[in-house]
Amino acid sequence: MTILETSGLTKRYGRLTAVDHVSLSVEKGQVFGFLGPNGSGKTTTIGMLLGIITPSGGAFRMFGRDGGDELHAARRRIGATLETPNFYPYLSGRDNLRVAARIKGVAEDRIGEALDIVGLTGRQKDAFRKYSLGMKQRLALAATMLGDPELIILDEPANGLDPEGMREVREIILALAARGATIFLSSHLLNEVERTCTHVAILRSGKVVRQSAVRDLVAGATVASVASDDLAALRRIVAEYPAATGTEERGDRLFVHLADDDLASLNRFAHERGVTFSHLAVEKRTLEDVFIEATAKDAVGGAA
Amino acid sequence: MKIGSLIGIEYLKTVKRRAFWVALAFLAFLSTVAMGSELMGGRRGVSAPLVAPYSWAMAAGEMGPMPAFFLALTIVMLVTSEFSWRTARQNVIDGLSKEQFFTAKWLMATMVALAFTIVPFAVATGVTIYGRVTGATPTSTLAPSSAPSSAEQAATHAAFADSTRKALATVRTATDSQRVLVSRQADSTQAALRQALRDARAQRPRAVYPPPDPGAPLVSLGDLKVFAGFFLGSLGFAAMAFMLAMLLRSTGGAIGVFMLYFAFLEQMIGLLLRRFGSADLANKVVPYLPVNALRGPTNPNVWHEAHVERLNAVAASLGQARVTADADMMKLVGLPLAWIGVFVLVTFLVFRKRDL
Ligand SMILES: Nc1ncnc2c1ncn2[C@@H]1O[C@H](COP(=O)(O)OP(=O)(O)OP(=O)(O)O)[C@@H](O)[C@H]1O
Ligand SMILES: [Mg+2]
Repeated sequence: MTILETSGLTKRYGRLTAVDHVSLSVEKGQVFGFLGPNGSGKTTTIGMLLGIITPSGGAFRMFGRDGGDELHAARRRIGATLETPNFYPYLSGRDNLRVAARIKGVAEDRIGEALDIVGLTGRQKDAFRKYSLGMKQRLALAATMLGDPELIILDEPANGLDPEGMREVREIILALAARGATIFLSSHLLNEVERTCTHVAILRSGKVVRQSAVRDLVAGATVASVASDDLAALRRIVAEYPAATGTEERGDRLFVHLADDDLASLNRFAHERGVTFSHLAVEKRTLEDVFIEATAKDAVGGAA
Repeated sequence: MKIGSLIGIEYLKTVKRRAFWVALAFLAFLSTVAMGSELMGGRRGVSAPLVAPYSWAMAAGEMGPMPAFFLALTIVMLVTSEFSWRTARQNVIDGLSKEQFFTAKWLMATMVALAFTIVPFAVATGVTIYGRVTGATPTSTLAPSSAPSSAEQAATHAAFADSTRKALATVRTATDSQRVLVSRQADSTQAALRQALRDARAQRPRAVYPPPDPGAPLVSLGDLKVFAGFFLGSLGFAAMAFMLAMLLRSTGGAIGVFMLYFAFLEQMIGLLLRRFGSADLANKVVPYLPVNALRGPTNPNVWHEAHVERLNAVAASLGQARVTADADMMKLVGLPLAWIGVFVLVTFLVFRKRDL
């Protein structure tokens, strides 16, 4: 079931197109990472989904509904944060959650549980303004999970957290996903995304340049590092190999970008042509490699 | 979402806001000073003492633009902080529609306007009860206008001349030992002047008040009308502050513009019309401008006949002009309501269109 779907979503600020025909599709149960460098339009996109920024063009559907009051009703089934944790500084953590619960129409006795999950029970009576950044982020997470929303949208939930805080946030997100929530989160912490997300979309200058399952993005981009006594022969047979999409040479190594991850087939291909590898290893590419490649200045348009 | 829940949410936000209570307490304090001084000793410029059944009308007359100012300050603060903390955004993200957020905020402004009306009237009631219980009687002796009458000025001159003459005569006829004593007093012109002023005050014509009626109800129908009129005016100033805060989204900006318009710009418009148009045009337009229009219903004289009669009795005893009140309902009620409608509608239309 498609929980969230955008088609051609666009936002223009004067001559700047902050979000440019973004089409995304998020299925139920996914943990969807929305990646992009600073200023690529992540917050603007999420702002449009949440009804606080009016789109200049395009459309989107949530839970299969679109437009007006229906969409507004759909938003009640969402827990979301945008940019920073936004709370009343003079109210305690608990009172801030009471405001959120009343708006969402959630019973106030669910607040304790949410505070418990994010580990703020001990500080719930303190004013929000006295919280550390990490505590503020965790309170925002607690607010999003009130009322067991079907979709949780988080804009950089781990922003400014220490490694321990990041790990806690990751565990909370995975726990929410395990409870059946669909999660849409923006980030530029690629390591975190690779560890938490099932799917990603990469945004560059307002355009989606990649969108796929994390597994496919990384797996589809296997790099084999090979070496042979006869480097010239090696170059020749690699150039002939059908699944090779590109090569780089570093020292006596040849890095072969493969369309699949079938190293055995490469080995057989070379052997049949009389070239023996003195070295054959797989260099799994990380999401970071994919991200840097997709968002590089010269990767115009992107080949999604 | 029901109106009740919207009010509940705003209530939760407002009652824990210390600044709200500070503003309200400050208003209560200033009201007490303004009205208490009536009872305690009188002061120059005070129109007439607080004696039930006229206390509410007096309170409304006494307070002047002060509650409007405090009210505006408080509403601006309560509204703009929703933008600076980005909680307006979060409220919408959490599930309020922009229309609901707007409604909740305007309801809050209405409630605050009501609170800021109740406080000065509650203080007036308190002061009156205090006066009744302790039997404190009004001591202020000045008439509705604060300038001394010409009769009063003549009396002061006469008294001054008289006491100076007496002092000089004493010096002339005194024995040596007496002269030392007297000269200490007479050489000091200050002392002589002080004495002269004291004498003059004693001779000043005293205002004659209709006797207070201890059996009168603490609050009459006229009082309720005064209260309602004061609330209407307050609501208008609340709407004006609400509009500025929602549109400018900055505390300094909204308060600055409010003050500038409230204290200065509207008069400027009047002056410019007089200068470049005609006096006739200015007289026609100026009463319809917001500050004048909204201060109309806060004038107790238009609502409370008994109060006006009383003021006129005092004025008559001092030989001053009668107080008149123009009770044109269109101007007193229709015009403020129209302004409130304009402010709220403009705010709504702009707010709905703009991103949060
Ligand atoms: N209100 C606005 N008016 C004008 N331009 C804006 C506005 N909001 C955002 N932008 C511009 O739109 C672009 C996208 O901004 P956005 O905040 O969506 O980026 P982002 O991907 O969230 O970046 P970051 O990772 O830094 O949070 C930026 O160039 C930004 O300057
Ligand atoms: Mg952002």
